[in-house]
Amino acid sequence: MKTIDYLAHTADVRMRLRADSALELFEAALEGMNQLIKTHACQPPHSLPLKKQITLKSENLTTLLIEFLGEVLTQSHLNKALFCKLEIEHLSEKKISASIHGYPVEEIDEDIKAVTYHEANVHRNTANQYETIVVFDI
Amino acid sequence: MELKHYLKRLDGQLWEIPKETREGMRVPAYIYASEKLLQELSSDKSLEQLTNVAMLPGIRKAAIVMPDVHEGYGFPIGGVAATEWPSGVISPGGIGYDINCGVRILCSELERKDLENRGESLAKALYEQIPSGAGKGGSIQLTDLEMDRVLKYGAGWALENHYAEPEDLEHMESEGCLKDADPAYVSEQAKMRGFDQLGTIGSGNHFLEVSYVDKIFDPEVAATFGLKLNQVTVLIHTGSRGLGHQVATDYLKNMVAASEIYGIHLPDLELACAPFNSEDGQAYFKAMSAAANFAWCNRQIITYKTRRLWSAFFKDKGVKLKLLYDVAHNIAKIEEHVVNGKKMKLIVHRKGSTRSFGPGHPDIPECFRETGQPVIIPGSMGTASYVMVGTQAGMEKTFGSTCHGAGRRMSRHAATRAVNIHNLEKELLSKDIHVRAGSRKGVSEEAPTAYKDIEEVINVVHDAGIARKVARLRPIAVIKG
Repeated sequence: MKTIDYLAHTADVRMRLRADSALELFEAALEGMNQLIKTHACQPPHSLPLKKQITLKSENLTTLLIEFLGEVLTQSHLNKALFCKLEIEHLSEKKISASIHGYPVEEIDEDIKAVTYHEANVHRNTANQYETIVVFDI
Repeated sequence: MELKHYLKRLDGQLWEIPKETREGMRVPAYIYASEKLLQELSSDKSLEQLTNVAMLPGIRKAAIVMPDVHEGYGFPIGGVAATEWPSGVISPGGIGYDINCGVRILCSELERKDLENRGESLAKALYEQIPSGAGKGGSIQLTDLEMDRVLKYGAGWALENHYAEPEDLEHMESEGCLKDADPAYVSEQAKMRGFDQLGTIGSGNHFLEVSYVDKIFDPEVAATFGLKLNQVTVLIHTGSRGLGHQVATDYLKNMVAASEIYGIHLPDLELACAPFNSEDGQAYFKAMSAAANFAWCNRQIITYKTRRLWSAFFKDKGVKLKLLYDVAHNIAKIEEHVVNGKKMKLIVHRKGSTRSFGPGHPDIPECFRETGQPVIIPGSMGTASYVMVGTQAGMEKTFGSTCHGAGRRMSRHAATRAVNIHNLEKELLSKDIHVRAGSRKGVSEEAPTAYKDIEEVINVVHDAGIARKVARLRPIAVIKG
């Protein structure tokens, strides 16, 4: 089970994610970011004709998550699209290989400038779930 | 640790958190604020973030914030940090993702009475002509070659392509171009994001505002600046758009990895940095300079479009729009300052902070050498903005830096809940302020109540002597994304 909560931040958006697995955490992060870019635009399911491959290596799971989201954001901007679906081929502490599937959108609700590393810290909480904060610069 | 309990008042507007307060601080933290504004600081993480900045390798004098400070991510927004050149660090987080977000002021030949009953139609015309809004592109689509020239020459490209007059470049910080820019250090993805964004405002707190001078504080300096009571002016606030955001993202990622190599461990990954004279430091500086040039070119193209519209709209009146000055408030510059009696070269990071060089400085245009440079401080939507002037005291106290705006005090979500949009729209109209925006949510988020009191902020920097009031502006028409 995954949860996405939006918390207060003076100028930007702070999101708290919780999930039962690392894979679900990445899915939750994608869903949370998309909800900001364009509200409810990934529900109900759309036809998703666009596909992009993302392969990344990083220092640890926290930086991997932030950099993955950053890459999805870049692809969203470059393709003027929303990538709703994530298919993970490989996920470890320091590497992700995945495809993202999406569709073109003409207008967006929020122009996210960047996914920041600020306060990001993927860890196991007291309920043994994966948890982290993600702060977006908007 | 409640850092507010460690604050010491040094003089009227200046507070200090001593460097002994937290392990790792290399210099004290300085806060320019009134008592009232200081109260608001304890409600967010600004102080903690400021003391983190004080830990940067090579930082000199103090980590400083202005009265418009608020919580950011890594560095607080509204501050300046200077590290010793060449081996002190450069940190992309000390500039921000919107590289060279900045503001310029254009002075018209018109008076407020010339816009009577025309504010609404002017706002409509500007909104239709100047692209604004999330993800919106413009009419100029750059080829690869032209993109590289924009990144290399900044406002110089605009001049070359007849979007600027020679005197425009003289009236921009750094003449609208950082010479260290190298397009080779800007990624293809960044260039692709920016290829159709020249001449666009973007969204969030970016805007174009038609205002008028409603008060002159310093008649002599105002005369030098060409400002008169009731004169109509235009403010343009925007930055490097998606190109700059991508450059910052690319290099922050590099720096996070590089910090390990250089043995730099800081409390927040957004403070990731590298020595300025390292390969990583130099690569970022060249890319940042290129993105800064894109932003100056962007503001110049918007100026060109505004001038054309102005000419068509006011065809029966004086139609010139003259650029007074353009300032950056998210940038890193190599500057000389005196620290502990010794002149030294520094890497000055300004994130939500405006350069405000005083009289005599060789880096400001000759026409302003006697007075000091113009400093433009936009207020929140519907409130006042200010033109100030740089001072010698500012050079001594804050590396020639001052505030950049009113500073947020409320999250966007809280503002949307707190603001009744109908009441806000009625209130703005009752003041004859005409707003055209891409969304009502955007208007709510930018409501005056979401920001600190601009008068309070301005009075702190004025009373601290780090910039001096010259003129106050009141809005007539605002367009935003």
